[in-house]
Amino acid sequence: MNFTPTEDQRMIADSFAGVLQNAPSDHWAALKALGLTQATWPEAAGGADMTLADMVPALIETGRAASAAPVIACGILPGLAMGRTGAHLPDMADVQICGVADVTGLRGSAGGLSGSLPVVPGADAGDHFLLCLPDGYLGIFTAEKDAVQPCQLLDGRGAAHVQPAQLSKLHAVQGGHGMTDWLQDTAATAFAADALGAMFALRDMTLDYLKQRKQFGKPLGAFQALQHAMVDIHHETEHFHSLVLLAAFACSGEDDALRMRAVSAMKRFLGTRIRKAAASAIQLHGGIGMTEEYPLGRYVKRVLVADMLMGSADFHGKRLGRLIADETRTPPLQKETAA
Amino acid sequence: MQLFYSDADCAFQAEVRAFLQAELPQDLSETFHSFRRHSFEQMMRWHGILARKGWVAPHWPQSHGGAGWTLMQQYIFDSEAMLAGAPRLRPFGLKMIGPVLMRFGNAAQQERFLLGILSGEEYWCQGFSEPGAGSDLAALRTTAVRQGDTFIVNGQKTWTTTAQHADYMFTLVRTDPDAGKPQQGISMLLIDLTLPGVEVRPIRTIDGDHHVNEVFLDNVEVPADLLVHEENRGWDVAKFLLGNERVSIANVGQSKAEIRLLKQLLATHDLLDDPIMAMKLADLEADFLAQEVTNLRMLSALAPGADVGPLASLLKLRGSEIQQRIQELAMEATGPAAAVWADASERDSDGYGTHGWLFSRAFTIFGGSSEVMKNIVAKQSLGL
Repeated sequence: MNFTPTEDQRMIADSFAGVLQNAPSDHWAALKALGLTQATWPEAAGGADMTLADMVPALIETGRAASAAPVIACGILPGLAMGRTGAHLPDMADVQICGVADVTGLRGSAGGLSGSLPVVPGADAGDHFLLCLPDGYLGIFTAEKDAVQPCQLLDGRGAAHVQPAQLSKLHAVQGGHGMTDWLQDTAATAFAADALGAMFALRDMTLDYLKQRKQFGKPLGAFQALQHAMVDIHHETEHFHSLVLLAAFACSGEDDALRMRAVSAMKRFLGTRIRKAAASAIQLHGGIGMTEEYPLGRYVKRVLVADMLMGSADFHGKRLGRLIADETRTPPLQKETAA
Repeated sequence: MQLFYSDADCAFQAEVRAFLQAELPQDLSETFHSFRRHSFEQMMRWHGILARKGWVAPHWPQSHGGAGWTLMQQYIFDSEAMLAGAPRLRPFGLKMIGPVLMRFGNAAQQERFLLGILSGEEYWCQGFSEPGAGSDLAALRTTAVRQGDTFIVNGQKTWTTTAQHADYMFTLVRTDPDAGKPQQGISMLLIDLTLPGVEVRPIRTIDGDHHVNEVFLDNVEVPADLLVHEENRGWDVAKFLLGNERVSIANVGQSKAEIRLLKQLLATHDLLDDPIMAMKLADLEADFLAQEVTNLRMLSALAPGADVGPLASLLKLRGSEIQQRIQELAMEATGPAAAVWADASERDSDGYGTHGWLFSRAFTIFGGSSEVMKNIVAKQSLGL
């Protein structure tokens, strides 16, 4: 097994990095112009059929750049959902599609929707909505005028409060059993991969700061208590990297139990150890880390967004506990074949 | 972690499973699965079985009688053997002095010692720590003075694991008390523990067992041809050896097996659905999965025999903490029975957690304490 990115993965990540570093303001338009937002879309719809695992290096770049472009919600997730259903929906390339992942507030079926979707990332940018419905259907909807109330996430990315009852269905295909869980896990992992990029940036900034900032006549990095705190940030980031890779591989495969286990472990880790590491980076900076102007906060907020969306650390901790309990109760014979 | 295995890895895993099924003695497997520790005799019996199969030294090159496996194969074997309940072989010969002799020893030393390590006929212990030299190993004071063809060794070693069973001790000694830096005047000697002037005294640890010893060296005459590498260059040898030790301490395979055992203990005590215990177990599982994949990432990036340095520190830090938490949850799950003292010979699942909790305190101390590990990472990986 080789964990270094393949040439294709590296190439697309480099393209993302090039755009994010050089495009003056509108990252989304620049990425779209190069076709990068459709990397996960089916070939028939003008995409490159890339998996979530393929996209991890690119997502690390969006996080590192703290980009406000709705790459995950409007690019990666709709493509992966289409690929998974095997359906080719009409006119996909011509509309701005927003993938809705956290559908816990959604009620109804392909026939009619109700309930409330309080925070839909990227929904401010889309004119069409891709919804995974409770009955496993995947549908494309358009919104009436006041169905979408835009808001901004902590990190500057766009989102909206969506009223499902005011959406009109254009088209729907059967996504199959477990589609909702799969899409939610996939979204959680995409946001986590992006947060990993933010953690890399946060780690590098904090380390630089420890080397440059002097107090009591020596660099902060000369103090052992601060060295050990920095080592902890470094190590948590490396372990998180491992869990993101595991979850992305699992979301790109067929084993549902493994996917849920991997994603829940990753989300639990994100909401406990990684959140703490991000907070520790502020602590190591001192006062400057508290200011809005200093860029550290952007990365911390990016981590918080990934932490809060798609199921909290407690939700995923409980789910992981249930998975372990079920697996432990399974007779050994079945366990061997499932392992 | 089948997810990351190649077809060849899966075939290898099947071969290992078949071997374990056929060759692992039942009493060894039962000992593990009934929450007891393997005895020294059981461990050496398993050593012999693996030696006859040619699998006892997976990481040694085939030219020296090793299996010549890839790092991934070693990891697969280790995981499978631990899950099956096999004893963990002690690292002192196979993972410490063996590789040291291959790297730093001369042809005569390799000829003399490697076969005995492989067969298990000669058992080794590690003479590094001293009463005044723990984390600060370079402060060691045991002296070796050269007189013709021998070194006269005087001093005291401590925390010497399984010295009571050992034939030889690889030993750090001070050969130049006037060297500029403490690290510079150190050498490594191979000491026959049957020589006059050697005395091994047991130290009982807080779990009630006899794992470690003091070794007193009183005018011990060690032949000069048992000096490893050059005189006063022993620190280079020690650093190489400690890197290997830290990977070994990370013990991913053993943790995997013990977590499975812990889950069975929780099931026995009807705690799998307890919300608080389930959350603690979920946190442990998340940390373990991270550790396991991090280990694989490193294995896949490392060429065999490469310097594992700072990566080993990362694995050792989290790995030792995970092993402590396994014991902690086992202790908590056991309830009041965990408060009862049990001698090693009569210990069962009730005593597993508490005695394991007590002994596992050592894991964040030996082989470089967690604090020393962090100093190393800060300096070597982060440039602080």
